[in-house]
Amino acid sequence: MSPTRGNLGHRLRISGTLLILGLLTEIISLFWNHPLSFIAFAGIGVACTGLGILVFLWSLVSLPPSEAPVSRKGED
Amino acid sequence: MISPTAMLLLTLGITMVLIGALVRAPEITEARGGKIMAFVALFLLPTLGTLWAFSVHIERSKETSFCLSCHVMQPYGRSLMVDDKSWIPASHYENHRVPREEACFTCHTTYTMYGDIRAKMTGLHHIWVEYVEGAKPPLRLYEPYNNRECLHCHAGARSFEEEATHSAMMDDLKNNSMSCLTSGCHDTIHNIEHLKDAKMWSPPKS
Repeated sequence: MSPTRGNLGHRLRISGTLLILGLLTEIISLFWNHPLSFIAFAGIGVACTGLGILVFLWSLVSLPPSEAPVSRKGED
Repeated sequence: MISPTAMLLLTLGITMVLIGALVRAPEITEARGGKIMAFVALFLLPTLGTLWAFSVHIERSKETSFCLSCHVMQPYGRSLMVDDKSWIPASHYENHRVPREEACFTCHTTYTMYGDIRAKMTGLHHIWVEYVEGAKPPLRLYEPYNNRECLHCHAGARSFEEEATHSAMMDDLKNNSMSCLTSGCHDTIHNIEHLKDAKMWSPPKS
């Protein structure tokens, strides 16, 4: 894996870990019908999930141009 | 048939498995299929799953058990079980005039275009008050109870419209210049100060 690919992989791992943490909190919150479960859902679940999605999107847009998909011959 | 909540849990579980695979081996995103999988697992499914879970939480927050899970609301829950038909919330709850599982929400939402959203925002404020500021009984409504909430169900009902007192003051009731609750007609509401002297009703066990 090239260094930039390594960075992408690292960001995907961060994104994935945040998403797993967020989704796990969301799943646990669904088993308990209480105001505190809503707080956990919104404060931890949604926050971690949102952050994970943002890290993923950021990892996509911050890819260097050399890693962008190569156009096919004759399309340029 | 599988329940919507079980479907949601299954979706979130599958999403976590896919994300786990990507975290363990991010190099799979180098292939086209891996890129699609990353988009689905790291963006599409978490977004949809979170919106779905939010909707489930919002629906659950309408439940009577949800409202009564706060300590300060428990006397109000007990007042629904008073064995006296002059207690308005109790007579509505016990006689299925409101759905028992959403009794609080049915009477305490505002029946306007954005009433549900307003009720949810108020609910968030209640969570803040309960866990941060500390709720101080006796509780008070933010504004006087609006007849609109009563008339949402009662207006047009034959027994209500044909009752002489109601029909004589219908305009005043509709324009809210005479309150159903505080004008001396139906003024026994939750009345929690007198709850200890009240006779309680026990529903028959089914």
